[in-house]
Amino acid sequence: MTGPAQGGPVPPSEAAAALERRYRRLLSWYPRGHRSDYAEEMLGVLMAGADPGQRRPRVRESADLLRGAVWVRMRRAVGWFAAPGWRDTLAMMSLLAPALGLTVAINSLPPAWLALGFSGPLSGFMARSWLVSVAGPLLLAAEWVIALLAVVLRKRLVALGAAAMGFATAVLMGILWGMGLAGQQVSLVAVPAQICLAVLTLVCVPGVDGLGSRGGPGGRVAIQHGRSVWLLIVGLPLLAALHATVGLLEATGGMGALRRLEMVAIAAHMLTGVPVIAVLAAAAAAAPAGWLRTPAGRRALALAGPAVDPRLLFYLAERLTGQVDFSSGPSGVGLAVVWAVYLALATLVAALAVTARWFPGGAGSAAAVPGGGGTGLTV
Amino acid sequence: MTAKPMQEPTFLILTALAAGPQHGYGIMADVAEISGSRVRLRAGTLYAALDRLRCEGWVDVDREEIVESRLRRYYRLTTAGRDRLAGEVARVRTTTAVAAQRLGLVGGPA
Repeated sequence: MTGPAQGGPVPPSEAAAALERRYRRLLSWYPRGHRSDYAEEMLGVLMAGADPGQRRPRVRESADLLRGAVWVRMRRAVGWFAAPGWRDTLAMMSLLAPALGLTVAINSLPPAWLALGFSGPLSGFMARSWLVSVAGPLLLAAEWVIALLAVVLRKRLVALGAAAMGFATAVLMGILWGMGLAGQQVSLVAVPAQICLAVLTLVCVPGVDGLGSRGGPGGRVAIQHGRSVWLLIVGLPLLAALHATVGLLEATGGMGALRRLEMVAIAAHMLTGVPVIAVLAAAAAAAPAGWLRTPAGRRALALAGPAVDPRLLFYLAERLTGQVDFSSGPSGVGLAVVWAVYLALATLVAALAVTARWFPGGAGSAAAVPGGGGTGLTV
Repeated sequence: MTAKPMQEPTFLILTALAAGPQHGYGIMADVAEISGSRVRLRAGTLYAALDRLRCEGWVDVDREEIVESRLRRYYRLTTAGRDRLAGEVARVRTTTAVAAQRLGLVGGPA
C-alpha cells in the first residue's frame, strides 16, 4: 500500500491536497445517495493507490470513475423496475396476457357479427370485412389458446411463436383496417389491445430473469397460486365465449339494424363487464395466497388489466368527448385514445422487461433490500 | 434456479472475500493477485460492483474503522454470496472438466 511519501519537487502534502480535490470533483458525478454511502471510502482507496507526489488522477482512473458514475446512476434510475417484485409482476403477466388476449379476441366477435349481419352473400367488400373482423379474432383466439397452454405447460418457444403469430395477425388486421378494407367495425377497436397483449406476452414469457432453459415462469405462477389463477385464465375466456354465443344468437335472430348496435353492445358489456369483476373478486378470494393479494399480482393486473376491455375504454373516450351516436362507427377521438393507451402500455411493459433482464437485482441503493425477497417467485 | 454465468470482476471480488472480510483497497490488491495481475480493478468499477453485490445480498458490511482520519469499511461474504460463489465454481468446474477431457489433458483437474 503506497502512500504519499518522500515527495519529489512538490511538497507531498500540497500535491496530495490537489489530488484529493480533483478526486472529489470526479466523485461529485456520482448520485448523492451513493456519495454519502461511499465517497469518503472511495477517496481513501484512491489516495492509497496514488503515487508519491501525484497531483492529478490518471486518465484511466478518471475514465473508470466517470464510467462507474454513469453505471450507478443508470442502475439507480432503473433499479425500481428491476426489483424482485417487478420480476414477479412480469412473470404474472406472462400468464395473464394470453388469457386476456383470448378474452378480447372472443369478445370482439359479437359486434362484428352484429355489424355484418352474419347472413347474406359474402363478396367484395363484405368478404374482406368479414375476413378482418371475424376471421381475424377467430385466428387470434386460436393463437391465444396455444400461447396460454404453452405458458402453463412451460413450452416457452411454442408460447413465443404463438404470441408472435398473434402479433402479426393483429398488425395485419390493423393495416387492412387502416387501408379501409375492413370498413369501420367497432370490433376493430380491439386491434390495438391485441397488439399490446401480444407485445406483453412476447416480452414477459421469456422469463425476465436468467432466461433459463426450463420454460417461462408462468407455469410456476400457476402452480404456486393454484385456484385463483385458474379461475381467472379459464373464467375470463369462458365468460367471453358466453358473450359471443349470445351475440351470435342475436345476430342470426335478425338484429340487422345498425342503430341498435350501441344498445346491444352496451347490453353485452353489462353481460360481461359485471361477471368479469365478479371473477376477479372470486380470484382474489379463492386462495389465501391468491396472486391478487400479492403486490406483484396487483401490479400485473393494473398493467395488463386495461386490455381486457378495449371497447369500454373506447366508449368512455367517445362519451367524454361528446360522441353519442355510434351507429356510424368509431370516431377519431376514441380510436386515438385507444391506440395511445395500448401502445403506451406495451412500450412501458417492454421497457420494464428489458430493464429487469439487463439489470437483474438492481434495487437502487445497497441500503435497500438485501437478499432478494419478493414473493419467492423469482426465477 | 437458473443463474446467469457470473462476470469475472464479480467472481474475483467474491473470491477475494471468501477468505475473510477485506476493505476496498485490500479487495483491489487481492483481485490483482488472484488473477495474476491480469485484472486490475479500479475504484469506480469496484464500488459500482460492491453496491450491486450488496443489493443482491451477496456482500455486506462487516465493520468500519477510521484509519489516518479516513473511513475504511470492511466487507464480508454473506451466506447467499457464499452459495452463489459455490454454485459458480461448480458450474465452471463442470465445463472445464469436459473441456479438459476433450482436449485429452490427462487426469483433468488434479
